Amino acid sequence: MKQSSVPSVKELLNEGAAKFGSATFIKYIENGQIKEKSFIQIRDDSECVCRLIRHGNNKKINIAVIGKTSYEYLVFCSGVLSSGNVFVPFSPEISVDEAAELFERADIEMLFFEEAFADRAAELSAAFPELKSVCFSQADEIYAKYSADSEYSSLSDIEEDKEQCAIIIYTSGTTGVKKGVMLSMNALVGNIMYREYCTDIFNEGVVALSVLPMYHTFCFSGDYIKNLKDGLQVCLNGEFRDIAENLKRFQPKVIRIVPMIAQSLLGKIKILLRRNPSLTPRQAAEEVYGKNIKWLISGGAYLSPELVVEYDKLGIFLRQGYGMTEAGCRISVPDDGVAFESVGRIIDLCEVRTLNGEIQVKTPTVMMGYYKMPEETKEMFTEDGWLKTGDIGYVTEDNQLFITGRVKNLIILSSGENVSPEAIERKFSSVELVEEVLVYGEGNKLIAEFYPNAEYAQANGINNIEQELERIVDSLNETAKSSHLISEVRVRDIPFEKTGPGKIKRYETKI
Amino acid sequence: MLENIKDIICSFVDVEHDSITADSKLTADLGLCSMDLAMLSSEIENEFGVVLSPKVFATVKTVGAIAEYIEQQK
Repeated sequence: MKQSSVPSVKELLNEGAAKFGSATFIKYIENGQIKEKSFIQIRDDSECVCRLIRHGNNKKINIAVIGKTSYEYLVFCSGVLSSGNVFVPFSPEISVDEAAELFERADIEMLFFEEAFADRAAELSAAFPELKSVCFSQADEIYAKYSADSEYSSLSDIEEDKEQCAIIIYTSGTTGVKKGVMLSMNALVGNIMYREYCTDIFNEGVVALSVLPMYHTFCFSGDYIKNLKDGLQVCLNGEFRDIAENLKRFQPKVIRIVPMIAQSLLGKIKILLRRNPSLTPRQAAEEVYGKNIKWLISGGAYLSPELVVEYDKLGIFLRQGYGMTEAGCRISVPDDGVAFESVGRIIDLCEVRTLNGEIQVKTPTVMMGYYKMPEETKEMFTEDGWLKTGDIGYVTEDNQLFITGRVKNLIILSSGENVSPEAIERKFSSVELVEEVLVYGEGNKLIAEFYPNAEYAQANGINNIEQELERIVDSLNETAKSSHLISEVRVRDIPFEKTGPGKIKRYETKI
Repeated sequence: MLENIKDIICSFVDVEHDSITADSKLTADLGLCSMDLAMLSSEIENEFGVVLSPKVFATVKTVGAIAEYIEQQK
């Protein structure tokens, strides 16, 4: 099945400017003040970045964009996507070493970065002398130099080939090696062009709060591209921890979340209700979420039906969707008629089948493959061309999808963060006190369980092994990414059970 | 200061103010998740005017340790 007439991001920006004009599209906080940018403004600013990229550069290149969600982040992403080049997003928490490895593998030739990344950008520039890099802080100069009435104006007039790769998104693999998912423009934008059943949400002027990181497909595709198409007003939360304040400030109607956010904010609502018995559940919910809240769209991790039921009592639809970057993002989306346990209704673009229990998908928005990884790409597909999701589940007659288990090793915390346990376990390979280690998730915590080297402990006068392991873990935590922090140390007396030579049998992640 | 910190924590977890002590562990005893800790860091910054990154909680693990950290930063 092929979709007809899918717009590009450039065309969506132009359509947004024509249709919604000077209405506010992006709202954010800068120096304590609310700033607003219109549909016209973001189109114009993105065009300036597009011209900057094309100034003196005629060949197609891969461009990394690194930053937390901000207006400039969106402008630079859009500029890359409008320029016919390939947008490669990375987490702003990425270390120099990991970035250097991925830049090499992804053939990155240009880098746009936020100021907080400046030191790491300088190190990367030293390692890659050919790398051109531009900091977001230069945005105003770029907007002035490359404006529509400048001598460079024609540089943004390009013919787009929407079948070509537009974005490479690196995802954690089960082996710990990140793989770059290549999506064409048709797949990236095509995935939001499904038939929508939530008719009262995705409309002009509806306020959405964007809290998840934009370098994740779920957020970029939904909070940015889909909202641009539908004309919503997107309020950027900025720092994750400011969510309570921003909910009151922006009063959103819809938020894309991960289950941990819903769980945590429900805790606040329950405390309010217990301490203020005169409040109704809805009033307490509005104290925390603001008066307009109606929809919470969850993704990225398992959402418990109990939580859904609790939110229903508050007059808030909390439902989940399901997808994977390899499918272009969405496979199923929620509507207000789906069952609590369902992960939504399969979108009209996708065909889903189950083979030996595994959910498999055919969609026009499927990836072009993993960048420079033909073997890994091949492994993701069946011989007859269906994408293997690695998840176990079933489909009902009314097209609702249910997931019952995961066949992957990957730890998916209830925060939605994917953690490769092998990557963390490897850090202990040079620690002599550690004979064996297994990292696994419980809820939103990472646990490291050790089988220590008792002989080494005895020889070195280590009496309290657990305390010493905690000290080692604390010291590793100091330099770890926030999603890789180990919350608990467990010590065992006997070696782990093995599945093969030296291969520890993994526990099932308890969510 | 400890009392103010306890007040803030009480808005995240359903425990009695008086049952929280300086030795109460944020995650193990009070059950704060990483999301709670992130929001807690923001509220503590607003209340005490000190910069407190959520990453600090990798080593600052008790209610009393938060108070000590704030004192050091002032």
